[in-house]
Amino acid sequence: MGMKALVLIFIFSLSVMASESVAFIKSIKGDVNIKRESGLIQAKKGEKLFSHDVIHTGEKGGIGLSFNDGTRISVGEKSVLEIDDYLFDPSKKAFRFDLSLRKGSAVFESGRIGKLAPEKVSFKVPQGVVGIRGTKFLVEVE
Amino acid sequence: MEPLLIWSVLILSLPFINDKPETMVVLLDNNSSHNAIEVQTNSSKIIIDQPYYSTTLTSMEKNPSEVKKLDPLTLNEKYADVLGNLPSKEISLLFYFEPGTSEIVQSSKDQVSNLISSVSSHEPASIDIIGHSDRAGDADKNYALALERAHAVEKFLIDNNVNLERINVVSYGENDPIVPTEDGVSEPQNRRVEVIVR
Repeated sequence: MGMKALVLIFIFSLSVMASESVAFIKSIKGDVNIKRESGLIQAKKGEKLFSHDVIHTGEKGGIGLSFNDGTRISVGEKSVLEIDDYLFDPSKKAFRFDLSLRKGSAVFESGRIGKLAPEKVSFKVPQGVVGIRGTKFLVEVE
Repeated sequence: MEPLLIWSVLILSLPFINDKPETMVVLLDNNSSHNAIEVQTNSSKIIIDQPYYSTTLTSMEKNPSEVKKLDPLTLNEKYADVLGNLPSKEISLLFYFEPGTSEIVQSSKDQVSNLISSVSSHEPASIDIIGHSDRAGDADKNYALALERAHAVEKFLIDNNVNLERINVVSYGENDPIVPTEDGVSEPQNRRVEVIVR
């Protein structure tokens, strides 16, 4: 009985998280589109982004993003960046940050996920993966 | 409040020049001595822990190139657009409370003009209001009290016409103290609401 209730709660909380926004658009230059399951969206300042959104920037285009944990990302022109998976729930100690840059350029400055769970950050590029190293440093400083 | 481990990394995937796609990864300087990244392929991985050092990836099946130093000036000039577009760092303010209540202390209320200018300089801004308690009393009650305090700050901001278009109100209860204590200890510094403008 207790087990069943637990499973139900778990499923419920997953579905709630899936529908929450993970970031929003701070700035935009030129032509930028967001590809989402529901279709193609013209990016606008202040617009919320979700896991699985794919950002496409055109020539001379660019976008600045702010994620829920304080991570900031700038995507340069002629780029494709996908938010593969994102979860920031410090009260449950649940973290996940998977991104893929398929082409173009990006600058990444990490926020609280990088501090609380650096091993959960993975930035994929076509030929490899960039991760955070430094849990050891964190412990030494604290 | 300053994150202990922050890092910036400039990733450049140069698309398909002569059918040879390459990705350059550069660690930038963010004034943190704990700035380090790991760059990995199926074949091996390397660490970059010095600002303006970079590696180039040519294939998932090959080693990342030897780390080499780039000239900061050339880099900053060449990638000025993508570097300049990085949103500014978040601003964090703390509100404190009378013991056992959700009454904001006057000195915290006095920060409101400061907060309004932070919000307008961060436009479009998002505001996170996070309630925290100390460890005096029951954990569940502390969770509820911290949430009540977070809502008190939300109401205070609404009453002061702060733009709350994107707002998120949560409670961490007694789980994220500024000053770690034993259970049952009353600690004024931990009875706070954190307002993050980003």
